[in-house]
Amino acid sequence: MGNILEVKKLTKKYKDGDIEVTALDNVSFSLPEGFDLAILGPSGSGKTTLLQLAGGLDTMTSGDVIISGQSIKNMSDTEISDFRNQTMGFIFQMINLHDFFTAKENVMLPMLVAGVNRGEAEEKALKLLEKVGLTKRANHLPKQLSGGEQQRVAVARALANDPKIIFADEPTGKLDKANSKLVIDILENLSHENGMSVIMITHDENIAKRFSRVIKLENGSVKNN
Amino acid sequence: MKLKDILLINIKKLKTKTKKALFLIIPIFVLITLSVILSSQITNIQKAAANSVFGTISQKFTLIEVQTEQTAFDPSKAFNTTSSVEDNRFSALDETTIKTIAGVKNVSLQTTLPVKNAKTTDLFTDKTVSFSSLSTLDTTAASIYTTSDFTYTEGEAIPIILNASALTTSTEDWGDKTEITMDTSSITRGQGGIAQRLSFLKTEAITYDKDSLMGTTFTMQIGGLDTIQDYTIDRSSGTMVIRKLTDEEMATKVEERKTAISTYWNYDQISTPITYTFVVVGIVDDNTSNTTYVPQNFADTLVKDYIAHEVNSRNGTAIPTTVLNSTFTGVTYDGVEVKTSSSGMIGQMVRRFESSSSTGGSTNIPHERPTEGGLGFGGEFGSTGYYIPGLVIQVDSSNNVTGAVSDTNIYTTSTKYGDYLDVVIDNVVNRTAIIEAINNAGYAYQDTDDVAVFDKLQSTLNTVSKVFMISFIVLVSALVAFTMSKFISESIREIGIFRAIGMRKNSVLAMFISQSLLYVLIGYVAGIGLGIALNFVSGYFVSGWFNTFLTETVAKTFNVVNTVDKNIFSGINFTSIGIYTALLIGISSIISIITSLSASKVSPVEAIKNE
Repeated sequence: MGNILEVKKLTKKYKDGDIEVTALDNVSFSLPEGFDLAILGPSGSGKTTLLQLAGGLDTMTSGDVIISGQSIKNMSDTEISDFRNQTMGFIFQMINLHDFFTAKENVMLPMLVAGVNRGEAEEKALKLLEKVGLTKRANHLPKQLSGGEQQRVAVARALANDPKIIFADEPTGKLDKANSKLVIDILENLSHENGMSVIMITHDENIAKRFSRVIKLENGSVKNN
Repeated sequence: MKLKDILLINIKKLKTKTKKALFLIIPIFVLITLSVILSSQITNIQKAAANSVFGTISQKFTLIEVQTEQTAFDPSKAFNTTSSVEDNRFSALDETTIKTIAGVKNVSLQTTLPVKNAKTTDLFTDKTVSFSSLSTLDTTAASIYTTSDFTYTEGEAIPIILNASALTTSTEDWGDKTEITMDTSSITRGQGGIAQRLSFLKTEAITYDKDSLMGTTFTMQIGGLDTIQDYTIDRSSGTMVIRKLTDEEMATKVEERKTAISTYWNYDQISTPITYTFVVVGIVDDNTSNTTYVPQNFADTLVKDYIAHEVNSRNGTAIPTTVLNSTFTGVTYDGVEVKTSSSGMIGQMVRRFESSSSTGGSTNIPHERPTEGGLGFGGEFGSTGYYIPGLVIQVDSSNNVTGAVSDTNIYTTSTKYGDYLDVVIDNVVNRTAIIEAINNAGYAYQDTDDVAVFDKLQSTLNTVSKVFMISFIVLVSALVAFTMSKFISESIREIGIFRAIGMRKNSVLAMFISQSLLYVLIGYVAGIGLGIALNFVSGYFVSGWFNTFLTETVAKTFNVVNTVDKNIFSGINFTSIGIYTALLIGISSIISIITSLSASKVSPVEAIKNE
């Protein structure tokens, strides 16, 4: 079995005025297929930066990221866009649904971006909403849903194109305990069911314990592995 | 991503964020509504003004008739053979000069033909119409008055443009008297009109129907001998006695002339006019001149025929120079130009007088009556000589007679002069500027204020039209740029999510361009619909305004005002709508592309920013 994710000497520097800030400094680790990863660390430790770079949302200063055997370093914008669409799913801390789409349409979106027929996309979206327990909410707009329900829609959306890897940035950060547990349970079950790897940022040690691998970041470097 | 799905996203957005969308849709809707109404009504007003109100005036205003400077009548020069008028005329050189002025489409010299006694008896039933002044008009200038081709083709009826002012008929009415005594003590030279002095002469306009007169074919007789004056005028201090000649006296005069003419010409032949067939292709119905127009390419043919007729009528006896310009008159040739009459003023006066016509069959109408300013000259003129049609008298530079010309091509080869230059301009709107240029070139021409009224209306409407179009372009650009920038700046996170999910840059671009165009299109369709509907309503009001403008302003300025068909104001200017549509599509596309480029540059990182 190969690695689903390999991070090699990943460095991200940016300029804040005249000062050069090193957000991520020479981070390396790898995650075998079928394993999950929790990234722990205080705020400002570079967790989100790591997730952005690993997910191809931002450009790295140096190093490399290899997902499912493919380096994303030199991909064009179109290639990385298509790669994200097909291989990755994203769940964000801020509940990021499109407010003009219903729950079902939000879930359909990644499939539509991939060029899947609307009928097919709709069918699959309804199945996914069923799995997150929101069948009855399929035609509701985000503002008609609770925070926990919205995040479950986001989970369903992340799974839409059967990605190999799911990036989640503190997906329960804004949720109460009960909802947090529900979202994590769903995420865990569904990803295992489909053989996906979940990489999640969290500051909750209890949640981190449920993950097969954990790395801790501090000042842009890996504390232990 | 499929374009269809991108469009569906925009429809979803429109449904849930209708209020936002209306920020673009409503202004576009209002602008398009206004542009439909405004452009249509401006065109309608211009059309109404051009077609119905000003009628021939608007068309006439594309013609500037530059006239030679006329000097005031000076009695001491009445018999001066070199009148100042003759010396100050236009030639081909002036045509070339004015042709260089921008906006001038065509310049042609209006040459008065050196022919006399042109008349028709079959144009109007029982009425003889005399054509005092036959002038040439080239095809471009003729297009002001006629839609037909104003060209002479051999063997076909010759096109002619009549002048309503010349369509008059004169009668003599002596009542039961044979002698009229008039008190002339209160009349000073140059005052009063012919009717006041010669009360037995009646002149009235012939009423005609323009539509039925157009296309009418008639024959015109040109040449023949003058009508002999059938009265004498005896003057003594303070009174003038006009006496009708008796039949015996008339017979004597006719016989005297016949004897004189028969010495050198075949009398029957020279007294027979030449006949041509004409077809009416146009009628000048303003009253600025009484000129009748024939095609430029017919002039040489006519005058050649006219001169040849005289040359062929000679009986072989040599005509001594002493009788030329004394016993016999005609036209003169000074080596340059064929001029009407040796005595410039007499020729002018005779031509002017001949604008009246005579009743059918009447042969006893005087031809050399006194005219305005020439009180009492009739008697003297009557004895100056017999007019021989087509006789060309050769004179030297000092105006001394050297002989009779026998070359029938003399007119064709001579230089032509004229009192008028017909300047056809490209657009009435440019008239004022062109007249200024003509003045600057040294030609005196003064437009009346009437033209300014017309100019002003047309140019005001054109300005309104232009200002609106420029405002339209600026407003549409600003609107699309402003609203789209706002939409995009408010959608940064939304775009970030789309990008994180894997939407390509091009799809983001397409999404925002199509969003903007969709809103513009909705505003456009609604605007066109309401615009067309409101155009009918506004047409009602504009029509009301226009009729008030007609009756209260235009009618007081111009004599001729035709009624306006109300339907003109419900007209829709589809050309303008097309232009506005093209502008709208063009501008909103360009501005949408520019603004949407910033949307496509939004980083997917925006989706993950926790704030």
